[in-house]
Amino acid sequence: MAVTVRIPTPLRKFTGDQSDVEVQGATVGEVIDNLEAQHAGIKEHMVDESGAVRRFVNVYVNEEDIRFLDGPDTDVKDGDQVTIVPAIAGGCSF
Amino acid sequence: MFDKGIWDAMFAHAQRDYPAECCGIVTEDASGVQAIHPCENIQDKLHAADPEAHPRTSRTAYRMDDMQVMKIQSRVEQAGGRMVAIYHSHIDVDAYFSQEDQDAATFPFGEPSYPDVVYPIIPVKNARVDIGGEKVFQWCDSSSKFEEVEIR
Repeated sequence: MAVTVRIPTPLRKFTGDQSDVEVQGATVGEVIDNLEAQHAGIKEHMVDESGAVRRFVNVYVNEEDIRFLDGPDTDVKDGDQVTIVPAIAGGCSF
Repeated sequence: MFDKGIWDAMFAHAQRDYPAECCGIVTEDASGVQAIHPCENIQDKLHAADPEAHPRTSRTAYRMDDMQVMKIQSRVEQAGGRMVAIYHSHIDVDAYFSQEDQDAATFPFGEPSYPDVVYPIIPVKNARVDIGGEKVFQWCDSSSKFEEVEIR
């Protein structure tokens, strides 16, 4: 199964400047692993050692945030779009 | 840096959302005309869904609805424009670029997510915008952190 992964500007140095990459996988976790196999170094920018999506990174399947689906276990199907978006966030010091 | 109307619109948004931090973006079209896009601060929703992972509320933090931002950004970029600023307010404290702001604005390992964008911060104190207290920050390559830039 192939999905299209949309790569944000700061991670395009790993994909030879491509904004959209075709990747195989049945779940978001598999897609991330296969993305790493094709473009070494990108994965650690997206997920931590336990495989959880990093705090200031968002991963969407089509338009749904995987935090509100099944996280990395979220199923994907042929033709889905997986989008990686850096969070825009912040807060004052305590 | 910004047209007067843009500052006024940011101030009005900051005042309206007090005592929550407001957030939004400013874009520029192909001919340089600026527009402000107030965005939703989803911090309270995240806090309600998982207070352990998101201990802060909108009183001390903001998180944009990133899908909303991405849609605005794609639409503007397709028309030849770009995002020029990401703004937010601070509640009852001065404008400064906190460690939390810095952590969020850089990808893991320190690279800025949006190196070409400026970050205005608007202080709101006792429900009034502290006009004159606003500051603007931008990524600085030589110091590898966000530094205050002059408001021109």
